[in-house]
Amino acid sequence: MELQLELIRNDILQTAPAAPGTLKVLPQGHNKQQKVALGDSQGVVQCCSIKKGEVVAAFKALPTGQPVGAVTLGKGQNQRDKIFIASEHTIRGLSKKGKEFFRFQAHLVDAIRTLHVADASMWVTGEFVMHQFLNNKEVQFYQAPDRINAVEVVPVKEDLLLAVLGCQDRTLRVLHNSQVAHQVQVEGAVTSLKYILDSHDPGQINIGRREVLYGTDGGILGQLFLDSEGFRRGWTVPNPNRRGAIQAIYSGIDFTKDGINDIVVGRDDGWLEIWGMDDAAQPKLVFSSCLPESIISLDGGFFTSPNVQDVVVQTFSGKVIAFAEPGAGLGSPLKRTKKEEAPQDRIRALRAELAELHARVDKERKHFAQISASLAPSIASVTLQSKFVLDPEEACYVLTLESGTPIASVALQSSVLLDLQDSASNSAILSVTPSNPDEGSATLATYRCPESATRVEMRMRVVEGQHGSIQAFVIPQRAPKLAQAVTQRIRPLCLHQRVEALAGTPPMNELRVSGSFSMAEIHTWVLFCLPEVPQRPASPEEATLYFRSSLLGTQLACQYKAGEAIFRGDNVSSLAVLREALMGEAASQKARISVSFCLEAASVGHVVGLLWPRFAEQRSAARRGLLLTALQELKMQDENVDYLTPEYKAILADADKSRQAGAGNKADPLRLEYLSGVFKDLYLDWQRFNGLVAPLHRIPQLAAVLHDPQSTQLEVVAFMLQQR
Amino acid sequence: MLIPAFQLHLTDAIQQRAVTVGKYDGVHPALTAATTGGKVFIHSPHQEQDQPQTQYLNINKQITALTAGALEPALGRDLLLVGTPNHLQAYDVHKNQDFFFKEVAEGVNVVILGIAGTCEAPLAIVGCNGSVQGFDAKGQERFWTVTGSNVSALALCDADGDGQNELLVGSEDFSIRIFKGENVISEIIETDRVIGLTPIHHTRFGYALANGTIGVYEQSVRAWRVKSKHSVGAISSYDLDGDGIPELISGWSNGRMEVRSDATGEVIYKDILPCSISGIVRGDYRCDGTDQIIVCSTEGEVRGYLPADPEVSGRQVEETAHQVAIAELSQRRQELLVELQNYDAQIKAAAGQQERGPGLPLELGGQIPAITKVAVAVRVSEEARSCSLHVQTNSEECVIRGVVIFADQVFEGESLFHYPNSPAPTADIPLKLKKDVAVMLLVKVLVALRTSAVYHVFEEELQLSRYAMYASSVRGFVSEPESYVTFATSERVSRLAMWLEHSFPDWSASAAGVGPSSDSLRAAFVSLRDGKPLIIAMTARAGGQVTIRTDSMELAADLVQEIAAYLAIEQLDCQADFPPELAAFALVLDRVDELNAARLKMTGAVADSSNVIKSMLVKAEDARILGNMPSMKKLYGRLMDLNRELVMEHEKRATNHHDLLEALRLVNTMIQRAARLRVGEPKARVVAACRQAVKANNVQALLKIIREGHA
Repeated sequence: MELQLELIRNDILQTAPAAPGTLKVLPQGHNKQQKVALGDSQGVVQCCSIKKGEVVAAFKALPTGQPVGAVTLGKGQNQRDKIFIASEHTIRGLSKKGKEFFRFQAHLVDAIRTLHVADASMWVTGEFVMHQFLNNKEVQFYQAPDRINAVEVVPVKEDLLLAVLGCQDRTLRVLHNSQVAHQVQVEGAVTSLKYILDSHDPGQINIGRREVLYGTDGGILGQLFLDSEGFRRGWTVPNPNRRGAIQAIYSGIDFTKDGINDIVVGRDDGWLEIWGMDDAAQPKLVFSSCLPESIISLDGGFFTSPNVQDVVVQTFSGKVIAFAEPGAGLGSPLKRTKKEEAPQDRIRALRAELAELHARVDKERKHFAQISASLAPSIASVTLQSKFVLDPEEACYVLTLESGTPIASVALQSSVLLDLQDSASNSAILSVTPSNPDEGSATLATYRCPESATRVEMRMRVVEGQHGSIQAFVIPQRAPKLAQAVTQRIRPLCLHQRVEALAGTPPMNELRVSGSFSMAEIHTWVLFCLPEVPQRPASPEEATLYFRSSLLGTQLACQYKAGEAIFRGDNVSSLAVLREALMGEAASQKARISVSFCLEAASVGHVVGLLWPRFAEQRSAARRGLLLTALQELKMQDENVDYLTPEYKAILADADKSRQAGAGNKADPLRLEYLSGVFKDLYLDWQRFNGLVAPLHRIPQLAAVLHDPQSTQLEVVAFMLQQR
Repeated sequence: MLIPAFQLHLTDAIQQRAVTVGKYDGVHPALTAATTGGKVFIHSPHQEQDQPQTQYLNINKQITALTAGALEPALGRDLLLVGTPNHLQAYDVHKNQDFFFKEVAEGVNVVILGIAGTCEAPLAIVGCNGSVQGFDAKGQERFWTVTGSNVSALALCDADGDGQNELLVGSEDFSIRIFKGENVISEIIETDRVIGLTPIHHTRFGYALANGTIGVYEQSVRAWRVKSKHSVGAISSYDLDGDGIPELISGWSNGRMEVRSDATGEVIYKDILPCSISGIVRGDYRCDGTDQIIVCSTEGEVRGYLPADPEVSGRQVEETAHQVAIAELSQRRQELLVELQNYDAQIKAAAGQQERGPGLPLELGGQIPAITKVAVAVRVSEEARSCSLHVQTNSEECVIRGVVIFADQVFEGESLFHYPNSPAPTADIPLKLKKDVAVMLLVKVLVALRTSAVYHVFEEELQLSRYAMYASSVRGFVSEPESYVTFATSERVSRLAMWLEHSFPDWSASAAGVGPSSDSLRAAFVSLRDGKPLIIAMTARAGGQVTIRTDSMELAADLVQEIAAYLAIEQLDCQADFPPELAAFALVLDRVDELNAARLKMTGAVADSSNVIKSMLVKAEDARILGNMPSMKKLYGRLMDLNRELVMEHEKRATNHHDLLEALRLVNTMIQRAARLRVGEPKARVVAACRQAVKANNVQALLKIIREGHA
């Protein structure tokens, strides 16, 4: 039975834009209703609760100007209601009344991004490093090869708390004595981690192991079990609807009343999802709702009422929203009469406050205008978050910008020719300026946002081989009128993704690069060419990385050390792009390199074979699409169409079926063209690598072979391997 | 979210904007729509048990427009009107026979039915390529006028509030014209092709454009508009929220259906259909006494919506509105707090600045000097053959990192983004304006120090004159075009000079030496698009004779209309001659004759071949039954040849039809231009006289009317 929850949304309050992990629900005290502690980018720390339908502050500090990077509660027995705040390099401990009882300066290179406290131990991380302090002395230090996105502290054994790092290079690492004790590769860059106290393990298979849930930038939710031996995999939840990266996970409320806490997931495209457990202990979706901005923190408890628990959501722009079941929360039947007045009261109060603020702002504005003759607008802390990820199925990159204040428009400039696509998930209006390559811009466009939008998503289709940068200028809607720019790179092999290892043993071509380069140099070149390469090589001597083309499924292995690099790939086109880019980079750094190949004729057949099923399907779908209208007309005319061949009848039946399913299953001509383009490139690159002049004149013949509905895979391969 | 009252899955596809509801038996409504293969289906759920619910009409031609209504009130039931590329057909569904069948050579783009102005009987009003025609129940032409471009939308609405319906005509030249009888009383220029018009109530009407804009006009003043990146499938109006005032209802290519408040454009309800929406109609489809709004999608999905009970919906709306209001107010509060903080921080920074003394460098993390200003101006240059936007900062350190210009109509999209490769304190942005319109340019200039990554946004608004793409020829010397239009006014020369200054950014009275007492004026311009000359001259003779010399009749007509509006001239007749355009026009008229003759011949030939095919098919089948295989093979072989010939013939006919349509459009455009060289009564007279001359096929008279205003 499909179980669907119904949850009511309550908007609680709004702070300045906030960083992930800066909201926590305090444990229950004397009162059953719980408080929420939160911080924001202005440095404001506050703690509040709901009383009689109104938000009441327990304490609220003044803005310090130092953004709050993390808010956490103590894990030790006597510190569970103590609030620990990290802002920049400072860690402070506050009582639930807001009294500061602890202050510590951690000497990190960059600002603190995560903080965990258990008794006298503190774990803090910056962008790449983790420190552990015991009684304010450093006892552990680790530098990760790639960015650290999420941290959990897990009691792996009695009295042994270990830090688990979720890193950008798709790896979870467990640290013990400044060393990686265990690590595991997952499906994507780890963007969130959650240690689950009450394990989702009804079968009791994993007794004694600790459950950790992780979320990836590709939107996959996964379960792992950890003990002193290492990791063990549980279930994973795929992301068929291609929703956003998982930014926050929470599991502490049993909405479905089946005895197991449900899992709440918050994504960066605003989706809030609740997963219950089905009979086979597999997660199933019981609730989802989409907010207009990204979710950055989740927690839960008896927040809006003492009767029913809420999920408390914090969003990027600093909105705090509670979700609770109906008939409870602010709208519990007991308080029905109250509730009907409550929103009006709140609105009235807010209006009054706004009027007062308006008056103050007007006054300040005038005051400011008097002295501003000698003053330019200053740099306000406008927070901007950007994400640039590959959507493998569409072969397009998605640039998402989210600002703390409403965006008026975004101006996009790129040295690469981009095919800008309309995006279903935002309503910004795209308008492309005819480009002017003389000025160094192959793409110029603007996105105009509707009123009060804080998120813009831009989809752009790219081809491999060209590379360059993309700049997006974000123009705000309201004062202060300061635009910020976000720069992203399109890499030559931008449609490749990192994989753990090669699948199978495909026939491989080899590209060997040698010269007098250092390990650091070759690493930066590889970093320049391919996505998802860590900033620093994992080992200083030699590195091996594997990639898979997300669109074509072809593979690439890179093995390099000082003086020599070997690239092996089944698709010569990838190697051709790589060669071009490496030579260009080396030349720009005045390094001398030499390149040699070792070709494998079987690889052409292999690559064509990989693509052929999709190509043939697209080709026949295009043909069916052309025939369909005529067939439908015949069917209307004659009612009885038994005289048609089985093929034609099947086309008609399929059309009816897809219509009933409500999906327009039409062939995308662009995709067919794209695949033909891949074949053409493969042919040209193969011939070129064989030392022949690129046989451009034969391309029309190849196109004819490809478009002939009768042609087979073998014919195409034979054509490609012909040497003339 | 709006809950549909009923939902149907029809098996037939529904063609875009060709849906209607008619009571063909006078009582029961039936949903009627054009589907694939030149067919119309009529879905009548209130049939007797043994009757099929759906019946089909074979039109066997491409259906371009469809409507139903009581064209003949005496009949007591609705007639179905079907438009095709060259006919209008009125069909009596109940009796299953044609009511009338009328040839409309210009092609039917859109058809509506109703009472316009002071007419007593309803008319079938047809929008064609370049004209609007009205037919009565007998198929007699009762109304004819020209519109300059292909008509793409029609509606009847009391747009001026006089209690009578005016005819609203939306066309592909981006304009909505309001006709009172045959006169245009108001003309609205929009930003793209008008694809939908709908009356809302009183003087309010809604419109939809091809670029995804919908909006509402109150009389001729726009109340609101919104733009989406999806395209509009259909618009309509109905009071769905039960407040007594109809809302604007729109259906979109992505399947979204929206109900927006007519006054503010706020979304009141929405629903999403699985595929794109092809039509929205209203009718009492459930036969329970209340109208529903019926939304149809291209794949045949039909949903009906009932007006909401004001009580219930009101409370729901209120509750969600409260939540939204709280969120919005909180957001606003936060923004104000941030603004306050900014002032605070800046005042502090300023205090710090003063303490350190004025001699110290100003840079504070990308802060630019306070006195930084940005100047924007339009520059038109005859030498450089360009019109450009010149942007300049007043300081060497502050460079322009980017300029975004938003403006309607004049760019490919709605904006132009200029990104200088090497940032400098000045930037020249060439404006390649697509149309001659007066628009407001909203310019956003990103300014920063050379090394800074923080960009200060300077926003400027700039009114662009209508004829910015015409550069004043400084030497006043351009070759004089032989085409001209000349008319008398009772105005002083200085008044025309004022208009010139207002409309041409590159012309000033002082530079041209025209003073308040000058008695003649000659302004010479060069078009920056094609380099063609334009001369506007005036002498005090005969009270003020104005002459416009240009080879473009369209430009001349635009200028005449502009001058008349500026000088408040209500009646204006003129003498005109445009030898090159009129010569080309005479050729077009010849071509119309030729194409018409060819068409008749070809129709005959097709009839012949189809007779041959019929007889041959019978023979071939006979041969098959008799087992005479060689003969059958031969016959079918010949049949195939004939078929191929027929297909070729069809292609020829299609080309012929296309050419004819294009030629007829040119004829209508020419009549429209001739009319637009005049204002008021002479304008209407020219339209009527030209129509007569076309009907009588009198080319000489037609040309004379165009030149002199009468036959």
